[in-house]
Amino acid sequence: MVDARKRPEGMSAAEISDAISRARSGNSDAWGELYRQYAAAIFRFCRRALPSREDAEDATMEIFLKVRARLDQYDPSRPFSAWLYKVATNHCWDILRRRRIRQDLETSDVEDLPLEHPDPSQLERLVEQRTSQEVRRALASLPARARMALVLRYHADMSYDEIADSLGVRRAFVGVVLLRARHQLREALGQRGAAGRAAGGSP
Amino acid sequence: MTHFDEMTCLLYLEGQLERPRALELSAHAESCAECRALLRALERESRLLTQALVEEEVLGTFLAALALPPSAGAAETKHVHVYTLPVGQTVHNDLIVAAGTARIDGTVDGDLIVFCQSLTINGHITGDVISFSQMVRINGQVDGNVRAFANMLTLTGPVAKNVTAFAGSVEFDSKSRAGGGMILFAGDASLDGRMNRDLLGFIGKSVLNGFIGGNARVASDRLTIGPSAEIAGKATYQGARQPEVSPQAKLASPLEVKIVSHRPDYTKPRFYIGLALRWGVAFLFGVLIASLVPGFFADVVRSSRRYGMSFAVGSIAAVSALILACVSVLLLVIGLAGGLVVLMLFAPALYASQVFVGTWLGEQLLGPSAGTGEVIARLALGLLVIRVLGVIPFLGWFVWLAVLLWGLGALTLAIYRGARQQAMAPAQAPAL
Repeated sequence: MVDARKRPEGMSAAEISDAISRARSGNSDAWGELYRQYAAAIFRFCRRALPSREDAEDATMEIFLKVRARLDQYDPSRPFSAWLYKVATNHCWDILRRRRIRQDLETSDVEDLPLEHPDPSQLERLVEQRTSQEVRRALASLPARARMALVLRYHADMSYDEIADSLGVRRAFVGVVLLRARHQLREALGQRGAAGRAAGGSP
Repeated sequence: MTHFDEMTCLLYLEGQLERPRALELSAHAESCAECRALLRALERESRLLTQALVEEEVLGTFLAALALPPSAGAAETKHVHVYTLPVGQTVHNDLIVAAGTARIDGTVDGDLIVFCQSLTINGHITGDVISFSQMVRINGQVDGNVRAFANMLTLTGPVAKNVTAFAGSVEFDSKSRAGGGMILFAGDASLDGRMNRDLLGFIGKSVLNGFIGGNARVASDRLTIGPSAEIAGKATYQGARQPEVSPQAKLASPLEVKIVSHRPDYTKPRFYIGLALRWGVAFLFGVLIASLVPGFFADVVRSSRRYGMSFAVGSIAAVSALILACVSVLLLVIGLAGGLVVLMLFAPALYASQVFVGTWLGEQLLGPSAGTGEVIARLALGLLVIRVLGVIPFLGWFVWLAVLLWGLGALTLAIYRGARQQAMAPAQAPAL
């Protein structure tokens, strides 16, 4: 499996940068090309980050509206997809924050994470037994920040710096947030039938 | 020996450790089976996460269900939010896609059937393209026919055979080619490409600026023939306004023009005779129903008194019948028989709707009826009111739409109730 962000289907890097510069000068065809290029990936990202499909559909629309309006703020020396994902992340994060489902907003609870050495064979067994679908269901039951952190890292393939920026935590904390999220995910997966827990995640 | 903690192992795998610390860990892991096992387990967990997050989910819409005609069981079917067939990939089969967005950059060695919002074909289809999509754009090559039901259809590539389209707007640019002819039902159409055979168009507003190898027959509200247009066969136009023909256009024979007005001419007696005739036919139809199946007739009129319910049920019935017709067409892939059967059952029901609504309307004006004679009087008056309201420009359309949905709903309700009553209490006589 390749990560979602580094796999632009269809257009080459040169075509993309060409389309961006044309879109910036108001060419709506070029904008259409960009939209077609990235809409699917951004939708998938939102689908993972937000609780429901409808949320993800709305968010995708809104993100592209924002991106179009702010296209002149984009710095062409940086990768476009990184910028796009940044807008998407902030947007999803705002939605989650508005709904007050960032119950783990405080960093304090992250600090008392016990850095224990888990039993590798037990972890390996758990990982082997679970299907991607079970993992997705378990993910949906996690608190917003844990889910967001995993999505940013393993779906959008963001760097620790970018994640720190998006989640508003210090860079040194990103690893802790990710590890804690993994622990929560393991816990959710460990309880037979992750579906039973799904309701507990977002009040 | 002290083991490395999980945090450090994770940071190591993620490439986040500083170099000396990373070297320390890898040196340790070489001799420590437990740390190696932990690294491996974490790595697997990462992979599972990535896989779970990147994998596409199946789209469970009812469209997806529609896309699975049993006759096409052998075809490859895809229901996803976004479907892409990448460049260089070939599907050696018929391909059926139900998706939000579909993009075909590769090759389909067979027919392509698509239900989606937006379809783009840049690749190569060796069979037919059948599409029920909002936006269709064909830039690639199609070796068969194109049949499109679309809001917007854009063609810039070559189609080896014919193009049939029911579309809001059709745009065939100067690079588009059709080896055969075209049949178009469209709100507006701009045809700049080449077609080798005939054009038959029922088009609101049409602009011809390309090459037509055969005859061109266009029924249109307005027609413009541009300077680069070339028509090898006979060209006929029927429409409301005079067509504009560029003097540079190359026409094999002068354009035959027939101006017809769609608007009824209220000053001519013909209009009123027509109105009376149509009223008479509907009236006779109503009398026929009322005398052949009086019980059923009364049931339906009773149902139509619950107009809100009738209207809602009618809308649902109309939409389902339409979908049913579409599905039957699809099942036989343009074998129209099934679709026509549905429509043939549907058309009398639609026609009858005015009878029931008319009777209801008559009762509103003359009071409740008792006996067949009074019913017929109310029917006659009600039908007359509907007919008169129906000829009001623009508003008349809404009157007819309301009458159709309402009557259809009442009919459906009455049939449903009748069936239920029969099933539940066969001995009970229907209440008046």
